[in-house]
Amino acid sequence: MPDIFVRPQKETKTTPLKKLVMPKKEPVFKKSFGFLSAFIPHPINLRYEFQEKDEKIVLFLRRHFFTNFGWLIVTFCLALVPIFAFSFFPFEFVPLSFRFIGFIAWYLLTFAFAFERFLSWFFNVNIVTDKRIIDVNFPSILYKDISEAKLDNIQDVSSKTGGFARSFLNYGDVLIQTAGALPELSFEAIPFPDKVAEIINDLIAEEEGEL
Amino acid sequence: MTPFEQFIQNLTFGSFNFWFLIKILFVIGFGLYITFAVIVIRQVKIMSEVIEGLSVWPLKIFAWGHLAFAIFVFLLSLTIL
Repeated sequence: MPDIFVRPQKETKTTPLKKLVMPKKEPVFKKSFGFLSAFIPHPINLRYEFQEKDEKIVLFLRRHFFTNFGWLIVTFCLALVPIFAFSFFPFEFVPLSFRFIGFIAWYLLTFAFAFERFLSWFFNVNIVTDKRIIDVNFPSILYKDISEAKLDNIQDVSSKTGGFARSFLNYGDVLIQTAGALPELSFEAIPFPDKVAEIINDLIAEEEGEL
Repeated sequence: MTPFEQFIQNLTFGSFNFWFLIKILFVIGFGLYITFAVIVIRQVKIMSEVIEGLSVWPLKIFAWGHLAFAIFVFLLSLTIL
């Protein structure tokens, strides 16, 4: 028997995978996660060494890229030294082979200086998760210093911005007072310090609400 | 004649070769630099283990290239100086 009326099928909406992975709360900023990003909200692919299974990274921070400006200028000046030195003073009393090796040695040391400073910037990171705050420091190439504070141990969070570059580029320090063994944690020269302080305060409020 | 024999002969005859001393300093310096380059590779590995998911392959390439170049310069200083 032919159907007189066929009720149209409702289209079932499928939830995109991104929505399932990302938290309900929209990130404050939508920044691209580049190689040199200093402010990454809700990074999906990043994992901290001691991260728990149910722990989520809310913010991944490192110092503002502008903080590299100092050593970049020093590197540039160091790179120019041999060129000026040889043009003003020809070093004719030095054998050619020694001049050549000395030239290479200078640039090798300049590279080492720049690379070490870059590594220091790249791996000195601050992580805010939904359970704790982690400060990863590599003070020099031979030392590793990781300090962390649980959100329920945090007593006060404040941000500090001052100076021309910091005000213009909107980066500064976030100071976190804790009740734990480590009295204070500081995130130095990070982008959007006031927003970071606000996010941490929100997370603390959420944590207190759960208790 | 080996470099060590040459060194002894220079000392014996009293006509000390200044540039030979500089060569030794260069070779020792580059030897130490190779150690530093190895430490850098190890450090990049340790640092990248703390935070998984960062794109560290360009840093690893730089670190290994740095070591290769340090070894090359060490060998170069042994041969041309």
